[in-house]
Amino acid sequence: MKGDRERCLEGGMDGYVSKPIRPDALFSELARLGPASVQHKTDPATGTTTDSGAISAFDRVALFDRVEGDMDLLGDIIELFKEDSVRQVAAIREAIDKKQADALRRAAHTLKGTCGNLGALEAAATALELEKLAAAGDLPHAQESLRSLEEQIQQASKLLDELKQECVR
Amino acid sequence: MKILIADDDPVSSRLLDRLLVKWGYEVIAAHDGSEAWEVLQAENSPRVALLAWMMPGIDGLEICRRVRARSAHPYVYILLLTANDKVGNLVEGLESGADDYLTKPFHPQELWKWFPQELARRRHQEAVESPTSGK
Repeated sequence: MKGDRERCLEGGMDGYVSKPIRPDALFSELARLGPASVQHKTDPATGTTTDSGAISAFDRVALFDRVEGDMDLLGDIIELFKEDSVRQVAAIREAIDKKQADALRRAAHTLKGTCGNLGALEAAATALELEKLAAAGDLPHAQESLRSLEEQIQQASKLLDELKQECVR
Repeated sequence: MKILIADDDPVSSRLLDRLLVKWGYEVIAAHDGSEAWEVLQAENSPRVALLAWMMPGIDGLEICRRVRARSAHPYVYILLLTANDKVGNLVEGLESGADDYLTKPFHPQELWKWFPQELARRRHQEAVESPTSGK
């Protein structure tokens, strides 16, 4: 379908992927377009591959796989994540304030699952940490973890928003 | 075929719903354990249930136990969805009567793999075990 691609690019498109969308095709196209949120950079001096910045926080490939390339579904779950993570963080904060370790454990557990599904790995790891702290009854440290969690979720939401703008019409 | 999805995580629930509908199943979604247990007690209830291990109301394990404690016919296939990855937990899950489990987050293919073959195998087994109803 080279003709289509060329016509799209001539028309001012930045990239082209034919439907049905295959995640790997979409990725290579996105990667070609430049600074993606998740990018592995190879250090020319050492030849080693490192994650750029904070962004190992987020696993795009797994996320695309999980929706099987269904971009509407991707848009849906991104919106659900943004709404629900706010609700769940509020539940976590309330549980910490009221010193309810069991409620905290449950809320953190649910949020861990939600974050995992979106590929928000860093937030998922912090939610797991909170779940463990709750199980151990360590609420003072939970307060600190909550602060990191909030930042990580904000960051994940931002990246997911960008992703949605790129991929979902 | 009807399938019950019971998960309080809306993202998981939406993902499962969409995949299963795409694969041609009829999905009934419950948002907590109490709702799921109600669905399973209704007439013509789903014969396949995907239950979150941990959820408000009645947790997935307890629903398994309750389902297994009642008559075995019709058999309900239960798949536990868990974010627990400790082996001990999984053993506990299977002991409660679940047929299998999926660890979240899972890849669609893991679910897909489980579905057609596993269900076909079990349907066959059921027909062999009760030849009169399997006609």
